[in-house]
Amino acid sequence: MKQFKQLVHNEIMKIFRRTATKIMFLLLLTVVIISGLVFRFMIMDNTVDDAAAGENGVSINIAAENDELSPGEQRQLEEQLLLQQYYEAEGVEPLTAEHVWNFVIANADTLSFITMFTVIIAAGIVAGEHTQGTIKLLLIRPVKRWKILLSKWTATMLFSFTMLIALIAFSWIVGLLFFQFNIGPSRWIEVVQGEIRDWHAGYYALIEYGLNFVSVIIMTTFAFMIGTVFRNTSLAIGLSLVAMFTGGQIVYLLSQYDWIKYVLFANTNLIQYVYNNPMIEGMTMPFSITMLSVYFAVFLAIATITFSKRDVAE
Amino acid sequence: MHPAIELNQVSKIINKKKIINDISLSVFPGEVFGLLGPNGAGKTTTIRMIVGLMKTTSGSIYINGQNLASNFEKALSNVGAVVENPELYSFLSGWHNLKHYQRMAPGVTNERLAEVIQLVGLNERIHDKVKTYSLGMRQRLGLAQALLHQPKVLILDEPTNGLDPAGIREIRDYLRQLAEKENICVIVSSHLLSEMEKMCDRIAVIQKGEIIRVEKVADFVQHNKNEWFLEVTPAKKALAVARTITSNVSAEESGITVKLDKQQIPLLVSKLVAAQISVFMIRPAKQNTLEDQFLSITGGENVETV
Repeated sequence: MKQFKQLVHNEIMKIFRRTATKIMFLLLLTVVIISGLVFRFMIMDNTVDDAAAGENGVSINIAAENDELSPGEQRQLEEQLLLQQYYEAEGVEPLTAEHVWNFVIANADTLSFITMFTVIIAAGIVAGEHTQGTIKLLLIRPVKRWKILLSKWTATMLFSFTMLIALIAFSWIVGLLFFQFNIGPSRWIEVVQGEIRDWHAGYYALIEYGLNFVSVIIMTTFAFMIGTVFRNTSLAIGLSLVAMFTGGQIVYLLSQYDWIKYVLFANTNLIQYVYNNPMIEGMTMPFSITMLSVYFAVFLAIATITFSKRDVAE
Repeated sequence: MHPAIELNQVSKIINKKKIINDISLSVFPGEVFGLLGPNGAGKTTTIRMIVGLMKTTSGSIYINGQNLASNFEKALSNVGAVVENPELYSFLSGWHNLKHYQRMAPGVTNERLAEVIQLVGLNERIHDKVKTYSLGMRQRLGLAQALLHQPKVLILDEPTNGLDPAGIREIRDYLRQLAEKENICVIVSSHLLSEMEKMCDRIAVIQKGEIIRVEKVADFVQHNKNEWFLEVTPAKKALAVARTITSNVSAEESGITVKLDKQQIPLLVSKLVAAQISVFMIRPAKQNTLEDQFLSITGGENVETV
């Protein structure tokens, strides 16, 4: 165990002492700041107007009486009405647009930057040692290869987790600075399948970031495997990012077939279960978690086996 | 004495091609052992198999009595190596490179780290990034990482490559000292044949994946000890005179080559002089350096003789 800790320490050192890594953190901060600016000066101004209109309960009633509404709009209005009633009955206020938690929650999409950065690290952590030739002096140590590989994977995940923490911290700080230290009432109330759900905003944010992070783990493990097997950083980055950006769409297009639920990308979006609204009928959270675990184990097994068996030569 | 390294009928097949064919070899503690062979003969493959970078197709390798295949960690804890050019992490400092390898070998203290840095003479630049190092400095750092855990077997591929003459001499003396004083088994491969001659106790000549010869350096270079070259004019006449002493005579471009005992040389010279032949120079015939030996063994194939 001590040995493994030392190995992870080495890999962490090699990740964090690179200039590229420092740039990644700077980019992440920049993204959060830009997102904060956009939120503060463009989106927020609009939502404030909407909110003002929405508070006027009369308008909802008038609209609801209008038969020309589509079923979707109808449902939306009903949900809004439900929310209004809940707010009044419970005496709570909805999370305002300029609330810090609201910004943090809305900012969860920036997690895809973390996926991208971690994919880059994961793709290069083995392949890079091959291209630079440093793999030779690394593998002549009295350490079994699978331990070295696992330490590299662990370090990649620690890097990713550090980025996640940094993202949440950046979002909080930027949120506080841009939205006048608004940390007042913080409840995240939504209508899910016709029922009111009332969560603490922090809890919701944790669930949202946590579930999204699961897909970060699986995508970066995929990149890690490709990089290990093909010893080519660019190929691993390319394949992983293409898969990440198109995978969801392909699954959506083929969602009428039953077998599609066994495809990785049908399962990576765990958030869908929080809304009880899976893309494919009949899929459940435990099913997706099982599928993800299987894919994950297969990726790591392929990487470990190839890495352990490989003859290192130019 | 138990061998520090033992190869038993080791073969390696890559893409159905036999790269290494049934090599058996024992190298002992306190010995500097050279691997010699033209490019592509299988030197590097042999070294890669010993340090665990490649697996043997058949046969077994023992390091300090430990089977490399079944007891990988124990076997390799006795080995320090530089395989080809020392490729280190260029974005890290020399210090962090060594820290990296320190963490991968149990029991390497910080004192040992400082000692090794001192030894290879990198004190002043150790905290600079490796990308700013010269080839010679990288070579030194490579040596430092190989020595860090005080291995019983030291394997160096082209150890003097990129060093200046003073550095080469330093390394050579140091390797000899390691072998003699600390009883370490040192295995070197080099294309600098003259270097091998000065450094090694024994040499194995590898060609086409087979060991064609293992010999002590002293024996190696003495094969044609009693052959002499004489620069003389006229050569034809000299040839006839020399034939009166020995039948082992051949004509060369600017003289003759004879094979005879050293004691008989004055006799030959006096006869040549008596026959009015001008003698300009007498020296051992050229077939007596390791290089020439090597060339004659391998048929002069693809070998760098710089």
